[in-house]
Amino acid sequence: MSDPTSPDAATVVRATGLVKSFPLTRTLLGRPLRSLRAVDGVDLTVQAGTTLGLVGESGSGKTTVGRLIARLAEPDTGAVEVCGQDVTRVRGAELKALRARLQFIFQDPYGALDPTKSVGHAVTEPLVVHGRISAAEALDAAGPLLERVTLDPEFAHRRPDELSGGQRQRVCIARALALEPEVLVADEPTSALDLSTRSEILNLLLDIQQRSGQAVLLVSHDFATVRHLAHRIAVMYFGRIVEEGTAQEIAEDPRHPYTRALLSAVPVPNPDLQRSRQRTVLQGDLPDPAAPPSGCRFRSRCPVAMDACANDDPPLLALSATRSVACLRHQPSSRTPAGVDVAGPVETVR
Amino acid sequence: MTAPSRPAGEPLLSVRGLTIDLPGDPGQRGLVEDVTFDVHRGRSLALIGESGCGKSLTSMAALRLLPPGLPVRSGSVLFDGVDLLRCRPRELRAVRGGPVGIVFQEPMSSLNPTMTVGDQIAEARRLHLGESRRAAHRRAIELLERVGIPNAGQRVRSYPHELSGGMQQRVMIAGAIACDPKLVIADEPTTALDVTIQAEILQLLRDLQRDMDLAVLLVTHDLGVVADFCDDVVVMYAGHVVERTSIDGLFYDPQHPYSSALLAAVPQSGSPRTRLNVIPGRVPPAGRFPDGCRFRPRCGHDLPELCARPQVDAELEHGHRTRCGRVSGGELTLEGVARV
Repeated sequence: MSDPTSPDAATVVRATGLVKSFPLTRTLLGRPLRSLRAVDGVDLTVQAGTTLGLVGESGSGKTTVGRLIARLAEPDTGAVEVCGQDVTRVRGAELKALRARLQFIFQDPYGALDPTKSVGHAVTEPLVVHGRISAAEALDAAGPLLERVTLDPEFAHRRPDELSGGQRQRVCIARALALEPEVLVADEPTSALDLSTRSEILNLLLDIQQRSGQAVLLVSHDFATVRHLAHRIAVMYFGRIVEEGTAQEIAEDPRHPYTRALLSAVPVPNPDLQRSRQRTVLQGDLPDPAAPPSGCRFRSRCPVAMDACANDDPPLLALSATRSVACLRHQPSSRTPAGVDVAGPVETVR
Repeated sequence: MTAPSRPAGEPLLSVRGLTIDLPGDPGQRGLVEDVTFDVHRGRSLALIGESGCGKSLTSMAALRLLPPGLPVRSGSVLFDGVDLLRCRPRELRAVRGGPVGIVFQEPMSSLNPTMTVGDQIAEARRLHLGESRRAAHRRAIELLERVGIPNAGQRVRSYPHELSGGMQQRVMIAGAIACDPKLVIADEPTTALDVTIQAEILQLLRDLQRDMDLAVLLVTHDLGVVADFCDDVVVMYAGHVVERTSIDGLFYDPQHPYSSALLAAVPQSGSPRTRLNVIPGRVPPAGRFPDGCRFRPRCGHDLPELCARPQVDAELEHGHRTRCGRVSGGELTLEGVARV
């Protein structure tokens, strides 16, 4: 396993300036009248053998970023490179070739499998579609694929409705791995699962990466899951990445006020810690996505907002070699007077 | 904030030997069997366990809200001295939504989409307390303010679909506390919400608990929420209560193999990218529960001659109870989460 912070680790995924809008209302002729910018200028990279965790709440745009990178949607502007190749607008044979290098694991293992087809069919279908094996060889190929996700090869003959949620998610993972992709994009792979099943899937995802060294983009609202799996974490709010750093930096020393508030809201299964923790309860819901606040988008809920935050939209700037933050309180030209507690009222949460 | 010491005196809600049958099961292994626990005034009790362990069934049975065709075979649910399983429908209606408030997981499917939120809250006051339409409406605005809804005077005329998920859940809570309840039963009240909204809702429940001496029965599967919000815990597995204790008792000194296995399955922030405990197998489907200890097929400490026998709910020390004969017999020691 490579060191996630080392600069010479190969960059497998590189996204630059991703923007994606969805129309809210249209004119009679179908031209968008008002639209929502779900993703508004996102750059990210994922290195070989490492996991980038993308966290955020509903409406932050994290799922859309995952779909753009997996080429399940096309960005309005911006580019996605996978293994050095620009795949932003690939179609046809090139898109099919991309599918062999990049696979997606969906949140809902109930909806992701065809109920009328056997498990063996589900896991071998990518191999048949890509012409690696013939349909006649499929049943033999299923066994080893299922064993990789520690399922009994016998499962090849069953249908999805005979499986538990955890087993279905294993089948989905086996199918995603069939073509030996270099990149996995996993969108909430454990949120539909029960507590004890979740640990099973988390272990499996760790094992797979340690064995085959994929670059993984893990999209999740569950900070505990992301903290457990990711080498690096990017925090999204309202279509932007507001902070990015190593998993340890983000978990133990968050800098952006939103990251701090988010982490202080995550309940930890430890009563002593929970009693001694300071909490920041954010005021208000997310603002109207179609009309974000001027300046910094977090301003309307931020406990340490200043006047300047209404005017300047802070860019994501590097604080150190490993960490970037998009907050006026943390910019080199910060207008924060000396002595003001930049950290705000939120305690660091471990 | 430290957990208050165990209260003396009469419990507010006392569930005793609750057993719910699975119709048509000749083995008569109850879907929920011999469930016993107490909720005390001003305290919050968590009902935890995986899906299919009977948490929601138990909480719904306590208010006689089981789906038709699921009979309660035996047991009692005493609320303030009244047996809710045997009282008349009129008495039951007086309790539900009155001294016992209910918050369900999905606000959108529990609120009436054709009534304004104000009318729904006011209706409870008018039915239970006989208030006039005008007084109830005024009170509804106060309640919406109490649960932190901005512009309550205008929002009172909103329909549920006009509010966000977090706001809808606040409306549910406003309805649950509308008639100054003594107990709120909340079934996964924050599971569908984002964590920052969850933190607000839990803080709101904590404030209400302090101000109204409210007892809360919280059904959840999130051990973080348990550690954050609750005083006492009931761990259920396959329809049995396997452990009853305080939250410290659960996290630092679990006394049932199922509880300790659940704790070990949760990622700890101090040790990322390490293997987590896996509980092999899954909760057996209703009607296929094994004899004796129901956790036995998945337990790492199974001794066939001991564990196949019916397990007795035994008290270990002040209020810490387990349904594991090996633990209560003193021959098995389990580990909890290390104190930080």
